[in-house]
Amino acid sequence: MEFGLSPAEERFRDEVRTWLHENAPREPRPHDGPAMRDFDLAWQRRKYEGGWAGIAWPREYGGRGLTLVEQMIWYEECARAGAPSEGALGIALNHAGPTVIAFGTPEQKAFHLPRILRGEVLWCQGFSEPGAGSDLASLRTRAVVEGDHLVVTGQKVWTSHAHLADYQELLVRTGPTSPKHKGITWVICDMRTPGITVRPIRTMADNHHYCEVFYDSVRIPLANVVGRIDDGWRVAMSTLAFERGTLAVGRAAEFARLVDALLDLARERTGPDGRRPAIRDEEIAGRIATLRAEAAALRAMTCETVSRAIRGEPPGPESAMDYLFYAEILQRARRLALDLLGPEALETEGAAGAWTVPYLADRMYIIAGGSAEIRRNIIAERVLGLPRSY
Amino acid sequence: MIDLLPSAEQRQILDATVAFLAERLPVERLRDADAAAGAAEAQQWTRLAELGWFGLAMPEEVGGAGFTVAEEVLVHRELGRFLVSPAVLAAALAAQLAHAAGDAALAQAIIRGERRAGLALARGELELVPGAVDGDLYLADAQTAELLVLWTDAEAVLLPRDGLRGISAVVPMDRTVALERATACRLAPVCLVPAARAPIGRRATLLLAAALAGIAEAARDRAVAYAKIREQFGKPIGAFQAIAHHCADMALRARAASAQTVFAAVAERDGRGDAAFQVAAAATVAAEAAVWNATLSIRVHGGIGFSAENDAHHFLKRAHLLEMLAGGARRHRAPLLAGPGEA
Repeated sequence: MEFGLSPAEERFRDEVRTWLHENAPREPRPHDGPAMRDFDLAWQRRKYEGGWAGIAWPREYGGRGLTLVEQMIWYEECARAGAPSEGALGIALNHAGPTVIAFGTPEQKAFHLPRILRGEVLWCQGFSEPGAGSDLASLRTRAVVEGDHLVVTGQKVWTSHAHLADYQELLVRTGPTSPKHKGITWVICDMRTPGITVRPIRTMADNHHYCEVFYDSVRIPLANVVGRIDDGWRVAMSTLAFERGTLAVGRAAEFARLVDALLDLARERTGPDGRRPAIRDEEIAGRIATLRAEAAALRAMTCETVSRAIRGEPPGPESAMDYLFYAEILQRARRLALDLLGPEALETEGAAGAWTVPYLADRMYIIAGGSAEIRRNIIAERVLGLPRSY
Repeated sequence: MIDLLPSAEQRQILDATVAFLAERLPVERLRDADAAAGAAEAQQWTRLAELGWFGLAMPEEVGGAGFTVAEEVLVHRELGRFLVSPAVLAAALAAQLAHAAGDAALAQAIIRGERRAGLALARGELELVPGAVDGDLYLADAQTAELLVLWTDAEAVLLPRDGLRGISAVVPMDRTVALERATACRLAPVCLVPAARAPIGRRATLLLAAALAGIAEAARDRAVAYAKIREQFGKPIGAFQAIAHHCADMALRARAASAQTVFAAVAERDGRGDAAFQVAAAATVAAEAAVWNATLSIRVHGGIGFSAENDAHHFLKRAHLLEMLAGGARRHRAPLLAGPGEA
């Protein structure tokens, strides 16, 4: 059991720290729309120029090819510096890009990978459908081969940033009579292709995070299929754990910063007795102390998960547990902020808005990418060996 | 290096510990009242000393096993899992305390199992000054102990049992442990060690956190095992999400407790500046995990979980005892609010 950096890793950390200090954008990230897209792409371009684009990507594809420990350091330092996350480029950098690296043709790699790294394009993920949420493999958006094209008809939903995206990693049903996990194909969809209609959906946090996407006989070249026709489920699933838990270490560091900020807020704001700072209140101090302890545990859990990856173990269900733990404590941290704000929590602008908007927006984490309930099912089945309950 | 999993050698220590406990101190022993109050452990005290349990993290020249607090934490997690008497923790702490106070002979005698210790817990205000200790105490599994380990944030002492007044047995919540009341009146300690010289109290908190993490794991395992065999409506109850999700939550809490305890052990072993913070975090999440998992385990067991004939209730009661020994949630608040610093 060891937890320490080598001298070379410490030098690397100092290098990251210095670079972030000099280059991380200081202006706040816009919450929505083209301004947010521009912000995320600009930050990616700056990382590209500094040699920090695609930190986990192999060097032969233009990535930085960092070790797992270096990736951890990168994400922790980003959180420490308050640097923006990958934002809307997360899909391109952590899923679509790695999938093209793993299964793409030389032409697909040569065209798409540099564009992602240079911050020229935004990708979205066309997975969920009105009838295929938790049960993703039951997706029905149909694709028929016609000559050298796939012709796609159907609908996707909850597609994050589809209205701002250039490309989409799209799962379609090519084998309608096969068992549901077979007969799915992973294809690169250019979002400007005729026949695509994108309708942004306003979220409860009053932004346009996600969209409905309609496909009416959309013709996608067969050359855009990644992996084999009907093998898309395997293609999609095999890169879900691409970053091997290092991103989760970064999330843990961001959460620790959030708790720091709550503590600052509790020192600034007047407490429930209307006289003393909120931190003097027993209950509030106790809640913050508990969140601090949970933040520490989240870091320990995520670092343990990365330890498994460093040892060469295949990705296990630990990351589902770490994510669920994060999602649950995040809800409580966000709620605490409202209690500290008092009646000002009723506003979603100004100083209060910095807390109330995320309170609403972060509910996403117990739903997106596998709901908390589905994650509990996975833990019960794969970690504990209980019978399948769904 | 970043590797929070046990090494091959640590794995061996763990496996040997579990094998011994499963054979010699299975939890079922506690169904027999004669085995309670540390009696089963007392019968095998020499064997426990031979296993090195009282001097795991002590240097070999005083008779210790020469391991570190990391290995000690792994062993104490298993001790928690098997509801081993707190007298074992008392011995380990007493040996470290005697050693830190410069009494090598006493440390050696404790490690060899020749002199016994028990745990003391302040029952109210406590005056702890070099010349004397004043205050009301609880004693846990200390009936045959000659020495008592007591600590505050600032210092730790070994007290002579025969110097205490008004020792009387009470009926404890956890009937598997002997609980007594006693009073110290200007009682001179056998030895006293300031936390600045050796953080005995922090070590105690860490080992209690490890035992609490073990309870959280054991409660999870028992609930899951029962959910697989108990059938209702024609299938195992674990096939119902109401039960499965309770079990998943138990797994989550146990994982958080274990991971943080290991993380804290490494910080403590390496003398890192954030050790106090990490230990407080471990005690907080482990106590919550132990109490909550033991609670859910009783619920998953249903009617039999409420009975004294099933072992589920022992885990809840022991969890409360260990949480109190670790000082309760409020004791950890200050280091948690102070934060880890620049670690």
